[in-house]
Amino acid sequence: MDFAYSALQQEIRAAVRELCQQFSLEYWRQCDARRAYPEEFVRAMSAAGWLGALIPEAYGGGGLGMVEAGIILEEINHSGGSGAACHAQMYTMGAVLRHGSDAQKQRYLPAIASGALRLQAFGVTEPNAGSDTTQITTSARRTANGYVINGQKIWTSRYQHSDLYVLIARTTPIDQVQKKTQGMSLFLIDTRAAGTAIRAVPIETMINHETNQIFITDLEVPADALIGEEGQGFRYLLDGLNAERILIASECIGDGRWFIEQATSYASERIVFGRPIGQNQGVQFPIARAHMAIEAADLLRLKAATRFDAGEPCGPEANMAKFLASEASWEAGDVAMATLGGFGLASEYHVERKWRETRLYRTAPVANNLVLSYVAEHVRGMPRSY
Amino acid sequence: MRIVVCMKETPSTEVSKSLGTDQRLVRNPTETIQNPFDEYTIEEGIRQFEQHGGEVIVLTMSPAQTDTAVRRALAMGVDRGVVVSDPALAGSDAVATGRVLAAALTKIGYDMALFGQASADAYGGVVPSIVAEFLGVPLLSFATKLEVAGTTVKIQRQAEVGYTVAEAPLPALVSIAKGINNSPRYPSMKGIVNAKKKPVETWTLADLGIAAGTVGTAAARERVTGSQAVSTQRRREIHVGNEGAAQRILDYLIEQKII
Ligand SMILES: Cc1cc2nc3c(=O)[nH]c(=O)nc-3n(C[C@H](O)[C@H](O)[C@H](O)COP(=O)(O)OP(=O)(O)OC[C@H]3O[C@@H](n4cnc5c(N)ncnc54)[C@H](O)[C@@H]3O)c2cc1C
Repeated sequence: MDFAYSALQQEIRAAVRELCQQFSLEYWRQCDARRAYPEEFVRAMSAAGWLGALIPEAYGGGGLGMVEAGIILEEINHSGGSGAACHAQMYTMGAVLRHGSDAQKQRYLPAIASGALRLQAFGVTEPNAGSDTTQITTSARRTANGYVINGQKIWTSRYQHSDLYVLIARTTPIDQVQKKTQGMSLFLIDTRAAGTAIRAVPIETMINHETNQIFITDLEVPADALIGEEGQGFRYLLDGLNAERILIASECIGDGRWFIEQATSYASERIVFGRPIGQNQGVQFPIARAHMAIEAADLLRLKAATRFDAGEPCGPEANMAKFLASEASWEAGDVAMATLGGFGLASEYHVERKWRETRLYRTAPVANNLVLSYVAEHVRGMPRSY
Repeated sequence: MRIVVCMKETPSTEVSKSLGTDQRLVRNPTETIQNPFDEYTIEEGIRQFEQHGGEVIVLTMSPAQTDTAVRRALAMGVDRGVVVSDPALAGSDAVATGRVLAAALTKIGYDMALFGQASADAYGGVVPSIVAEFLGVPLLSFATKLEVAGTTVKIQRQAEVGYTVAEAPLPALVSIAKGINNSPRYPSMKGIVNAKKKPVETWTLADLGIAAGTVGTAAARERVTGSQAVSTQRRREIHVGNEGAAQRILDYLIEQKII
């Protein structure tokens, strides 16, 4: 067993870190305050090619694996920024790559790799179908030359900064299928051609995250908007989850490291009662504990990513890594908040922003309770709880 | 056109530096970076190559325990690397460095060799001239603009007021001033991935036909005999109390032509 990063992986880390250093904490704070999409940052990441890391070289991407993609996102969050504005450009294309037709791959992947085309919006969640995707009611009805889609999605992120939109819709109503996971299909929708058939209404949230309610009315799409086979959408969705889990875990690990670094340096500098607060075990133990939790989550993340890259099943590891990393980064954020005292709440210290940001990952893309039920059922073999 | 960029590895700007008993910088090979001035040189080399085609090569003389700096140059777009490394090189002065680089340049073959304005650690800024002397080719120094047309290289050289224009026939050496402001590129993902396939050769003194006695500590004619840390003492005036202090500060700023 070898826990060392390869030279290539180290170079990737250094290069992404260097790029991220051009975007200061103040830059991110301003974006957050204005609820502005970090255009310049995403442009720089895209121009340097990083967002095409997972696309095979044959389609103009980096041909890199999940370990490397994880390093890229970890470094963004480790720099004090947030990968949320662009992480989906890295992995949403997976549906096309794994299940799309040759024509779809040729048409879209090179442009996604170069950044000319943005595919970073996906619509799974609906107002009445969150953790239970099978309950979606958005429907796609076959017509002579394609489909007509109607329905509603919620929490579709980055819609305004995406040219393409991956959508899951029922092609067969739930009461006409044997298993409720059947009868759903994935579509790749060109948002630029959608006109008024798609209406996006931004949702205000506690973080700078462009996310929306989506209303779809009689959206006509061509037959070749379908990804893979009709009715297989849920299975395709599951195929993409491990990648998403591993990458989100990586962002949390980056957040966690940032929190711990902030807490450590503040604890060493802040003098109270004539000595650095970090000299008190009451201050340093929580930091040490947070550090260990992040390190442990990191190991599971790397195990999941390594298995993913080797083509081995990694559902348990990917889910557990996402759970542990998101819990650990939240805890690390709390420790940083506590260590900074009142300054933890001051936006100029950036901790409160990062803490808000990292909180998302306990809820999305999958709520941690659902990870627990997955592990109980699929890893421990206990009865299904829902 | 074959362009060779001479690059030095210098200590990371993020670590504290110390001097050894020989008054020389203690170098930690795992914490070296590209000499920051050389980033402009590498960028210029790549730009010239993009414009004129041919080949761009990075050359460095280094203890070679890591190749981070060379790899970074390859990731930026340089085609291949040559590292001259030999235990006998330890303690070399600027003349010895010039001797080695001149021999390596001759062995590689070049139309144009580029240098940085100085190295961020020693800041001698004399190596390009020494190499030019060994090679007997012209050196155009401190270029803030560089143009190659046919077999001529033309530069703008920063002067106190404006600039002077100088040109030389190729082959020639050019040192690039930081003022060239050519926004050195970052290694991109493609650059890093492709760099893995690019060759880096390591040469010893024997490969260059240089006798060990002519370089290294033994041959060094330049010796550092002492050093002193720089201490800065800021001039300050303290105005206490509300009474008229703001006015006095304002007067002072106006007097100093700051506002
Ligand atoms: C900022 C943001 C961005 C998002 N971006 C996207 C996006 O781009 N695309 C997209 O499709 N979705 C997106 N989502 C949606 C996200 O994936 C869902 O919010 C998440 O899956 C949870 O679904 P829900 O909100 O409907 O919660 P619910 O499913 O209603 O769950 C509510 C609570 O009940 C718990 N719970 C539910 N069932 C069980 C059970 N059986 N056992 C124990 N506990 C249970 C959950 O864990 C949770 O705590 C985003 C969400 C947010 C907040």
